[in-house]
Parts: sequence; C-alpha cells; structure tokens
Amino acid sequence: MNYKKTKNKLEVVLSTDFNLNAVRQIQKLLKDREHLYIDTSNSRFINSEAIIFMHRYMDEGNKLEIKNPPRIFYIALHILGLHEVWDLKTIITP
Amino acid sequence: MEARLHLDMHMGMIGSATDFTFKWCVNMGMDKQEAARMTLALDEILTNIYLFGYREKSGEAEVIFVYHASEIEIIVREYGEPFHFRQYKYSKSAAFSDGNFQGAGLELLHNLTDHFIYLNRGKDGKEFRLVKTLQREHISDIIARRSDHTEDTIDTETDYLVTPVTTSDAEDIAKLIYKSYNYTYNKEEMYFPKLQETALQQGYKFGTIVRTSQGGPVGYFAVIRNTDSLVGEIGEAVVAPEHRKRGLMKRMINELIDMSKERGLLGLYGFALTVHIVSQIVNQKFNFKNTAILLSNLYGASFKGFDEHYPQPVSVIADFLPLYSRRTNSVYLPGSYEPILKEIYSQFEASPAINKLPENIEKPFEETELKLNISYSGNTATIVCYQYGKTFENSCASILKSLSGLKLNAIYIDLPLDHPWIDNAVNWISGQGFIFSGLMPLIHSEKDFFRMQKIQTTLDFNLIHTKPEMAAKLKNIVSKEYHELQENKE
Repeated sequence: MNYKKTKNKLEVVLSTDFNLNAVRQIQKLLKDREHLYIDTSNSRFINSEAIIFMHRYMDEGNKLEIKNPPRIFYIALHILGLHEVWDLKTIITP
Repeated sequence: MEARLHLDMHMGMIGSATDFTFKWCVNMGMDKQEAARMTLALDEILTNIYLFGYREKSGEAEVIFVYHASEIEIIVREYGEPFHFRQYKYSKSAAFSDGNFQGAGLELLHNLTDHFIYLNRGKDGKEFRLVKTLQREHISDIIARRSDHTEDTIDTETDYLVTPVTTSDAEDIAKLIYKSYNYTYNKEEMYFPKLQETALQQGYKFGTIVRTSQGGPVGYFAVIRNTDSLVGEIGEAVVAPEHRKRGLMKRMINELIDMSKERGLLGLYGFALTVHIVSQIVNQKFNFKNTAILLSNLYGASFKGFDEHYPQPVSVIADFLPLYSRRTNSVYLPGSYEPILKEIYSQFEASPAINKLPENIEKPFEETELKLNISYSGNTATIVCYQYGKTFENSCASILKSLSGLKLNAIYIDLPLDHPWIDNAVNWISGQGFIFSGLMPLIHSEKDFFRMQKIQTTLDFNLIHTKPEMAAKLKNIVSKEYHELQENKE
C-alpha cells in the first residue's frame, strides 16, 4: 500500500483488495484527518468491513473519495442498501 | 477435484487465501466477475472467523475447494468460539440510524452465492459451505445466435469413427444432447459447452465420441471420475435417434472400458433411473450388477417420455461393473444384512474374502473420520465414515442435527466394511431412522462400503420401477423397512 499524508488529507493507493487488513492499516495512518482518498484500481473487491469503515468515516462528517472501485463494490452497496444514503456522485472519482 | 488450504488464522493470511481463491475460481471456468463474488464471499467468512470465532487470537481454519461439473463449492472448517450466526440479521434501518452493521457480512454472503450453508458439527467444529453455479451460454442460445441451419440436416451415414473426446468436441456434444433429448436430459450441465470444456480440461471426465465420415457427431459416452477412489461413473450417454440400433452404444462402452483400464480404474458405476426400466436394461446388457438402491436421489429433473412432472424425487439403482480380475482384501458384513450382501457379492466373479464377526468388538481408532458431501441439485447429502473412532455416535449425531435445518430429500451414510465394528455402526445408524440401501464396492479409498439411507420425503413405491431380479429384491427390502418406519412414526 502506497500513501501520501498532508495535515488534513490521507491519500492511499491499495496494492490489492480492500479488506480488513487494509482497513486496519488505513486507520493507523488516518488519525484525525478529515479527508480520505483511496485508489482501489488494484482491488478485486471491497469487503463489508471496508464499507462499514467508510460509512462511519463519512458519518462523522469527513470527506471520502474512492477512485475506480471494482464493479462488485456497487453490488455490495446495493445489497446493504447503502446506495440509498451514499452520495456516489461526490464519493467516486474517475 | 479438490484443493485444500490449511490456514493459521491471522489477518495477513486472509489476503493470501483470497488470492488463491480468485485464481482457482478463474481456472475452474468462472469469469472474473463471478470469481470476485466468490472471493468476496470467502473473505467475509474468513474475516468473521478471525474477528468473532478466534477474537483476533491464533487459531486454524481449513478451506476446501471442490469443483463439480456445474458448480463450485468452497467449504470452510474452523474450531473457534461457537458462533450463532442466525441471530445476526442485518437491518438497514439499524445501520442507517445507529451505525449498527451487525450481520452485514452474512447479508453479503447470502446474496453473493447461490447456496450458503452453516453447519455446527459440535466438537467437530463448524463448517461453512459456499456454492456458486457456473454461468455459461446454453447450447440453444449458441445455435440460435449462429442461425446455423446446416445443423438441422440429418446425416444418416453408417460409416462411423470412434475417437476419444477432446475439449474441442464440447460444443458438438452439447448440440447432440440438445437435438436428441431437447430439454429432457437430466444433467443440466450437458447443455453448456463451456462447462464441458472445463470438465474435460481438468480431467474430471473422459469419454468417447462417434462421428460419421462427414464429421457429424452422432454418439457420445463419458466416464466421470470419482475423486475419492479409483472408480468412475458412466454418467453421460447419447446416440442421435437416427443412428440408434446400430451397435454404437456397445462400441462406445467397450472403448470406455478400455480407456478406464488404461487409466487404472478398478470399476465403473452406472446409476439407473427407476422412472422407467430402460437404463436398468442397458446397464444389465453391459454386465453391470445391481448393488444398491438409492431412494429420492434426483430432484426436480424432467425425463424423456414424461410429459407430466414425475410426482416424487427419483430413486436410482446403483449398478457396478468390476474392471479387476481378483480382490485381495477382506470385509466384515453386518449381521442383520449378511444374507443380502453375500447375494450381492455372489454376482461378481471376484469378491473379497468375508470374515466372521468376532464376539466382542472395540472401536478401532481414537478419532472418527467423517466427511459430508452435499448434492445441491439432488437435494441430498452423503456422510462418509472413513474410520470408526470413539466419537462415532456423537460426531454422526452432530452432523445429522446440523443437517436437520436443510430440508433434504435424503441423507445417505457410507460405512466401511473393513472393520468388524460395522455391525455396531449399522445398529446405531438404524436407530437414527436409516434403512438399508446396499453395497457400494470400492466407492471410497478403493474400499467397499455399506450404504444406508434416511428418507425425508413421502414415497410411492408403485412409481419405482425395477426390472432385474436383484434390483427388485433390493426394492422389496427398502420398501418393507421404509413402511415399517413410517408405521412406527405414526
């Protein structure tokens, strides 16, 4: 996992799937930064732990951006009903 | 065909296991999107085991990858804290209002797989089973897409060439099945050429194809290899209607017997339907002998010649053709079924020596070794006991209890005949509502097993048709035991 930190923003490029291990590593780096950018171009899936982590992060009023999520991410969001509450237009970046 | 991973359950290991899973699923014929779904499902299970089963401490899990002709099954076994997963029901409103995501992983699991089964096997641990059907293009769509009208021409030539099947024959085989049976062939996977291709590529089966000198396919016959023993099953056979009664079936089966011997197989099974007697007569003609009757074995299939839906799960006769000339092992027979088992053995030229049961019999092993196979399409389960150990009764009871929620049509149990404890095992299993099924020669680990069955559907035995004398005898025994059991229940 590659990352870049500034005072308020953490940018992460995941080298593989967005799973529990990745969540724990991001949590360690994130601290109280209010802006998280995650590039998931190399991820085959984003699991429920990662989705819950991102949901809570946004719920606390922070800004989240996800680059190039795998197709299955949208299926998972739909199964959990989160497509109704996530503002995907602002979260997903090309 | 199985692959196994033994995992030390720590967080970093989950990624390694999912990497393997994705590649395995792709290699077994899934496209990348399907493989990602299955991989995410496994990740959810392993993450749950790590977080809740082992509370982020050390533990072990075993992941077993099983390839079936039309589906992929992943079995996860672990021994962590009891986990009452049915209590964790995901609630959208709880997630939105309170941030309570309990059960989210399990909600994904249910939706990402075609079957998700949880079995609590007591002291023998917990088992999760994920099943995904392989999605492929149906042969009728392929034919329609190509508008290949030349396919409709009937090739009535009588000069035939019999050759081993290769992956390039997959589409021709599917076409042959479709044209000969329309939608009534009882093995759904035969209509999907890509599934055929993968099965042949992976060595799951081998077969022979008959073509005319013009190259048109007119016959196909295959053996599906048993992954547990050196035996196979003649499971797929077709001859185009206009080429029947020309000895093609005989030529193909002789070819298959030679191919089976070359591959070191010790015997062939044929499972004949009892909806009608045709397949029983065919098997008998090729010297297969009846060894068992499996009640309620096939489910929801339609059969050629039956316009109406057959009103109960279909029972089958297990027929066996030995490919060996002598047996060097010996068996013990359970006292209550000794006469019929001796009669079944007497049909074969070479049989194992039959030992006398000693007076006092102890369980021979500390550990009981059981394996559970579930047929999702047949809605049945088979418990295989490889080894009688001290926990035999408890382990069997745990499996039976865990299966009680699945509403299966039938549960079969295979008991090895290589130890005199078979007598005690049969007595105990009978007490659990199981009845006779028969002998399954060399079915697991190249050993003979005694099969019993627990039927969980109502059966009308008048609809179970048997032709050969031995098949009728087996039917009489199971019918008597089945009705006695029903009366006792009432």
